[in-house]
Amino acid sequence: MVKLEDPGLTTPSDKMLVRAVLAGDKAAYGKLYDRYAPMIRAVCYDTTGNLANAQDLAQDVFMRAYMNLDQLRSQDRFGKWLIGITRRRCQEWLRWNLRLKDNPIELSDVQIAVPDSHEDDRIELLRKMIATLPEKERLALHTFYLQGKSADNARRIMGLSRSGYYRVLERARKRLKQLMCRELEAIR
Amino acid sequence: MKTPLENDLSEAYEAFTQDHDYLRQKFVDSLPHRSKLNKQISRTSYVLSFLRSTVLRNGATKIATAAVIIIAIGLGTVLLDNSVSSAYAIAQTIKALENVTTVHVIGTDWDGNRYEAWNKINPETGKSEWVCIDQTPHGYKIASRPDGSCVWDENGNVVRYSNKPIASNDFRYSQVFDQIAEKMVELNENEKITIRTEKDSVYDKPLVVIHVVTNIQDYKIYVDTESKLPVRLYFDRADNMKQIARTVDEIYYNEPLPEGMFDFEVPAEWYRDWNLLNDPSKGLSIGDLTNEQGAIKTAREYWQAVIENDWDYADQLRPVADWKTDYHVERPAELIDIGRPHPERGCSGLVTPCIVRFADGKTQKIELVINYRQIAGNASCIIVATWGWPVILSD
Repeated sequence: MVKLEDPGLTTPSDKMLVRAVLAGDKAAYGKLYDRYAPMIRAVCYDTTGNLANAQDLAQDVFMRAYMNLDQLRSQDRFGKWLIGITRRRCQEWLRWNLRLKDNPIELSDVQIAVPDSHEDDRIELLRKMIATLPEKERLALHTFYLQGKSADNARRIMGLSRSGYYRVLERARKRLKQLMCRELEAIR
Repeated sequence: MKTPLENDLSEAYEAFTQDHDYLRQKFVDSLPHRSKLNKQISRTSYVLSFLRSTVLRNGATKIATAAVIIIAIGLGTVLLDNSVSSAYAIAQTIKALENVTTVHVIGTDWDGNRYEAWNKINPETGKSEWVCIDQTPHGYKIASRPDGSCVWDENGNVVRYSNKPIASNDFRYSQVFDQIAEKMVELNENEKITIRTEKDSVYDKPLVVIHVVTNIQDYKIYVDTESKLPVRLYFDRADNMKQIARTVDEIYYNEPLPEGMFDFEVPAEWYRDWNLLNDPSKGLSIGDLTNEQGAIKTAREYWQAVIENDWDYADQLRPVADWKTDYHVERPAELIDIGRPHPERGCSGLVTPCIVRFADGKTQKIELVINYRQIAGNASCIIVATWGWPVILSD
């Protein structure tokens, strides 16, 4: 069993956690879940546009990752690998969605989207607008706001340099601001 | 200073941390141990793990959730391929099952007798709150609704009314669904689920057969691949505890209820007021003892009274059943042990296992259901029933 307690390190690295999971430590996977689940939910939300479905998809992503963890070659790139799984899972979800729309004989007439809790329309609109950004910019925002606002973590997940990451982030904010202004004007 | 957009972004992202602890707990609990994993991991266990981690957090009610689990496992294996979002399919199934308003079942109980039961689902809670059971061979007809219940015991020539729904008896078939769900989500490592498709002779069409083997009980659930609903259920208890049904041979969904089913119309001459369980002169005062300690004390004093032929005291502790006749014939001689009182699903009190040796040398395990009461500030315990049939441990 790999021990997580490493003197001098307050936060175990992804690599340490992955090795601990592979050695049978389920709690270590819980730590990876804590680290990445909010971001994975955000990525799923970009596809589903619904929080409940995004939560379900994210659970499935983590389960798949767990089942296939021994296939992860660079253990320190767990986050990036996880995003790859999420991307594929979201594509599957979209395909299934389309198939259901084409074939209404199955349970397709059932309304499945659970309405998200009532919140400020502006905030919901903002989330929808984020989902329309280019993938790189979306990911920059997700990682920044859900990875403890640490540029190092975020850029590692995205495979960018520090300055490159900030450029993408800035571009995302700018575009988002424009989109929001346009959308709010249209509403008015 | 933060810009308004910055503030909004922080708020927008908070949604993705919502319910995190709960989701995490469910997820981690559902993870199989890695030593059990291999490349050939079956879709069954994958689907099961997925269900454990996602479905149970859904707002679906128990009966719906249970049925979803049954069906989704069948669907997940037979109808879904890897490219299909099980989350989406399951969410749809949950919604579909929320449309079930009544469940009508016909089956066989542990004595080989037929029974018939109706469950009406409360659309608000999704629970089977209206239950009507016909156990004619045993002389029982039971009707329970949220505001009260009525048990017509033909053999005892008595009708028992209560202002509470039936909380504890062996005949609540709605429990079947809950039990299956409970077993399925709590499957241990040495328990298993196998799934196959077979052509059914009764329905003359393929059914998905889900075979659940647990330490205590085996279940076989037959699911219709067209309607996605269970059409038949079989149970086999390894410990020979005779409870609930042995088979549910026919299940009908959304049938209109027979008129007047819950009207409690019984012959007036068979009416008897039923308030013994709330009678403060009955039961055993337990002072500051905990519920569990009180149950043990009550069980011990009850058996002592029965062994010493103190029928009045035994009757005070257990006033409701016609058990005395049995013990006059088959005499308890020694209380060997009392196990830990524990709750059981569908049981109003603590189930307290008692090992008793009888005068003929037989040893039996008899589980007493002991309720805890607070009447006018006084805590007391009262024996309300036995949980299942006695199990003979040695002849």
